[in-house]
Amino acid sequence: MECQECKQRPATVHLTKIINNKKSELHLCEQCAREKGDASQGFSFQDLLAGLLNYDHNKANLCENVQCETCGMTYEQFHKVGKLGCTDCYKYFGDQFDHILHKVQGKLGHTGKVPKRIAGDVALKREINELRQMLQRKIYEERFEEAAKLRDKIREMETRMAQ
Amino acid sequence: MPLNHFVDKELSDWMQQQGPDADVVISSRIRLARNIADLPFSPLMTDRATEDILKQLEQVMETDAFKELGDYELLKLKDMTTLDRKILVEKHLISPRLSKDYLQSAVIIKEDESVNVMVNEEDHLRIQSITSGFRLQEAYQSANKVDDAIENIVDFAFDERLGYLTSCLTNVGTGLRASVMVHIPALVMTGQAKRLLSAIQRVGLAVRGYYGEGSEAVGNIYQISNQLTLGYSEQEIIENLEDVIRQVIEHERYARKQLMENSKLNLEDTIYRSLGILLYARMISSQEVMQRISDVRLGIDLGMLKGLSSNILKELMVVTSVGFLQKYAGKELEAQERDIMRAKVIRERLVNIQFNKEDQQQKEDQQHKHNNQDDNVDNI
Repeated sequence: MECQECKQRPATVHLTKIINNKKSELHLCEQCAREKGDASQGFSFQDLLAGLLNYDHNKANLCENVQCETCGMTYEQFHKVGKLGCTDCYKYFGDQFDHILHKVQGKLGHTGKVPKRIAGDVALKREINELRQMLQRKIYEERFEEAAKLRDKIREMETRMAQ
Repeated sequence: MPLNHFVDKELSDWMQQQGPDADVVISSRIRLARNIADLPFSPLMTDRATEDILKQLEQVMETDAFKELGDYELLKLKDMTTLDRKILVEKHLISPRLSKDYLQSAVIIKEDESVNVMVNEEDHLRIQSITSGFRLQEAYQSANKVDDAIENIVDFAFDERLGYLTSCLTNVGTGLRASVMVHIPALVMTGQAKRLLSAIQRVGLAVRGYYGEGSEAVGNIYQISNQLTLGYSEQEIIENLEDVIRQVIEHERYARKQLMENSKLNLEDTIYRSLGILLYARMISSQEVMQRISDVRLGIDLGMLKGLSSNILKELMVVTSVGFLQKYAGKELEAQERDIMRAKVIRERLVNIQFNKEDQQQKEDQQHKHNNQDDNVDNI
């Protein structure tokens, strides 16, 4: 089969686009496909991500007007572009986010590297959380003395963090 | 270090070494995505924010912590020619995307080209470290050190629960993309590649052909990388990838052994034919050259072809790309002109290669016979 663009070389790249239930096919040779560049690779990950977001139509209508107060990006724009505008977008797009993030990444909850300068605080926070969970368990098990000790330890760590 | 230092040399220093498991693994790469706090992400990047980022990076490069890591150069893409940018892309020092946004982007490159930091690509900073062969941990250590040195004075966008914050959700968390480039000709020849690669995809890794479009890998070279970046530690991600790569290596070596045992002659024929084409063709497309180089490389790894180092092949892969060909020609080339130039460059590079001792011996025997015949003629 001939390349539809240059009509000289054999077509080796076959693109099938299905948009709104209409199918179109494009047959290009390697060179024309590369020259067409992003056009033929128009289906980027951003499109896929935006597509995932489209899945929940009802939810989308409700929160499309949510806007990041720092950079002004609306949820709808994020929908389209598939990328965020700034760090605070994570804060403002809050709840609807988790569900998409879950689709993209699976597990939520960072367990990897923490920037060195704030590592101390983060590690401390992680430990305090763990101790709090242990405290709940001790109370449940009616081991009140041990629970009291944990409570004191947590208090001490919290004052340490406040400094 | 001027731009020329990076643009004139075809083979990066790190490429000249072999590295462990070099018969299957070409290179290992670690990429960390980082963004600076309180600045807009790339979709909303402004000139002022770009200036801010560059200023902070210049300060970082002045610190002792950074200087200890080696000699680095900051290059702004808007100060380069289009050709220079193309060459940096072909040497994998910058991505095509960084090159496209050249008015606002920059790159900090280490002298030996094994580490670079792309500035203003999809994220503010993309720290990349490459090693030859299978050395993911080593690559990670290098990237990690650069990350620490920058973080010393730059505040990164970070959230306790979501980790390093990025513009695209696919990178949030560790911001880590670990990938390995493998050469698996035997698996392709024995028809096992597709199956193995879809199995790899099922354990959550991404596989793609390193050259060429679509799923068919040109030159039997594939890149295997992690997909998830959140909820796992950096070590977990790297170790998971390492486990899979070890299996790929084993399978490829076994397939090579099988080929040698069961169809050595066919294999030899394929390899030598490809060598012949590289040596003598007058025109050759980039797709074909990758396939021929793959065959010859297999020949070297199997010990069939002696006197030819895999470094020459790596060099060929780089110099036969469009940007380099243009550089040698000194002008832009049409498709067919490129194919002709490509073949010429290859012939020139291979002209002085001494091959198999066996071939050498035959050559000398024939020379000897020829000399004797001449003597007889004279006598008559």
